[in-house]
Amino acid sequence: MDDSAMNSQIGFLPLDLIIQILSRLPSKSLIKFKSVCKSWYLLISSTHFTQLHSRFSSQTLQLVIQPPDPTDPNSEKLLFVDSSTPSSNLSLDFVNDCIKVRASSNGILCCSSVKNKGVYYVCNPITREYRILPRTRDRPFTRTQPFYEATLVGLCFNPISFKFTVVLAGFYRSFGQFRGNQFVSNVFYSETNSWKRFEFPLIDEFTHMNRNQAVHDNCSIFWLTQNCTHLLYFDSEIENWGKIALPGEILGIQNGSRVYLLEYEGHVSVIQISQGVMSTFVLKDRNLEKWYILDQVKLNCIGCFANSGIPVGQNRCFVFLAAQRNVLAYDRRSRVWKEAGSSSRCSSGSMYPLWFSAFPFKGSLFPCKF
Amino acid sequence: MITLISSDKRKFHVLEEVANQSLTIRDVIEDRRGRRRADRIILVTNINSKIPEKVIVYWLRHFLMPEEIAHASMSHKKAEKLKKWEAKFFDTDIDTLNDLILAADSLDIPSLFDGACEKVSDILKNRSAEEVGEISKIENEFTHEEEEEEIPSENAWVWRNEFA
Repeated sequence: MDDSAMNSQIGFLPLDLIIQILSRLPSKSLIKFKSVCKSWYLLISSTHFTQLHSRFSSQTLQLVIQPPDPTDPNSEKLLFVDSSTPSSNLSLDFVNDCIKVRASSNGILCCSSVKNKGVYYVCNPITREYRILPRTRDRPFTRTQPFYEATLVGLCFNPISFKFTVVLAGFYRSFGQFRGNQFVSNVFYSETNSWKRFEFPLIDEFTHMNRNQAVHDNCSIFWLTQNCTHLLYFDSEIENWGKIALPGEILGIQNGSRVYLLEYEGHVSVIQISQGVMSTFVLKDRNLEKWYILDQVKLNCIGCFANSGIPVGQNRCFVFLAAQRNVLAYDRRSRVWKEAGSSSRCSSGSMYPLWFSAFPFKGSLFPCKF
Repeated sequence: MITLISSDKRKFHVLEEVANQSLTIRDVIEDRRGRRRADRIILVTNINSKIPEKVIVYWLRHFLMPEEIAHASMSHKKAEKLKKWEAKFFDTDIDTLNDLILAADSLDIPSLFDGACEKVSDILKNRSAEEVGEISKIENEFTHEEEEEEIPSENAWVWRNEFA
């Protein structure tokens, strides 16, 4: 867009004020408003606007929930749940494949094909743009539950450069062996459109309850280890794996406590649920392995959810707790729990609970072509 | 005391502490400090008298609770009350909101600017592109063919969702 267009008045307000208003709109409305006029079309498509918009949209957190059985044609749509408005649907049918969401970062999803093992997609469900990743040379890492896929999948999308990395990692199991002893990771770099393979001696047993959700900060992707004592991370800048100990408070009480890894406003955070109390810790300094405690919430007011609810997303204002059939949101300011989205649409006849496929999501207009 | 004069020559007398919420006015006062009283008159030429009235009402409400308190340590009850008040305050027609945005922009009042922008985007959020064009008085200069082909094909799913 040239400068004269930037300074001109479009309709009711000068363009710089229009930008301020539009950047506060949800991504879904913006896609629609591209057809209002040419200058809006150019504006909404521009890189500058996309970045500005992400600054506002990142303040509202949603959950994206995929119906547990992607092969079922009736449940192909993704469910978006947020704390205040009724839940909405978006379909992934623009990718002509049966896919399962594996990781989420800044409004971009990394999905794996259910039928073609080892085929991965990176897509933006709002702009309906997608990119199919080239195949890695390795055969897909096997795992018994629920589909055969790489054990760890992580996506890190940089909101400034629009570049992303995808990490697939697992224990490589050669034919006939019971368990792998070699930790192999394949890392995809979007700028070169190629994979890089790293091998390490056995680091630690990982994956947590089959929900090996990855969390990323600026340049690293984190996972929680199985025994809930450490975080495993891959730093894409120095291309190295590392380990961080969880806070001492968590290591202190091991019995009967559950630990989950989540993002908190761009930082790495763990939530521990132990004896009816939910404590949130945030990683302050990675090198010093320093954590601070954000808040502690008593769960006795939500009854049985205290035992079955699993934290699946959080930000400054809310914590989302997903259970078998519904999602609860805890408002950190007013300290009130309420049901998020409309429960009737969340529930399905499936045997898999909701948390099984729930990812935090911040709708954006980010492209995935870079 | 500071005097604001709107484009239609109406005068508004405001306490300096209250008007300080506008960063522009604060700077002007700072520049003119120590001068005669006549210099404490500020012309607000780009807005009509209806808007300063609203702005001053907004100032007075916010004067009682500075920005920092409003967000960090304010009790939940008070925050809810302020939220309710703001919802009522911003509940006007779109032209007034636009004037408020212009005024908040030129007077540099961040919280008023954010509030008004949010309200306008709330109004636009669930409308169709045609309605938005109408509200924002924009002529759609897409040619008929372009509109038929390029845009809707890209956004076909949006249209579908809307009528579903």
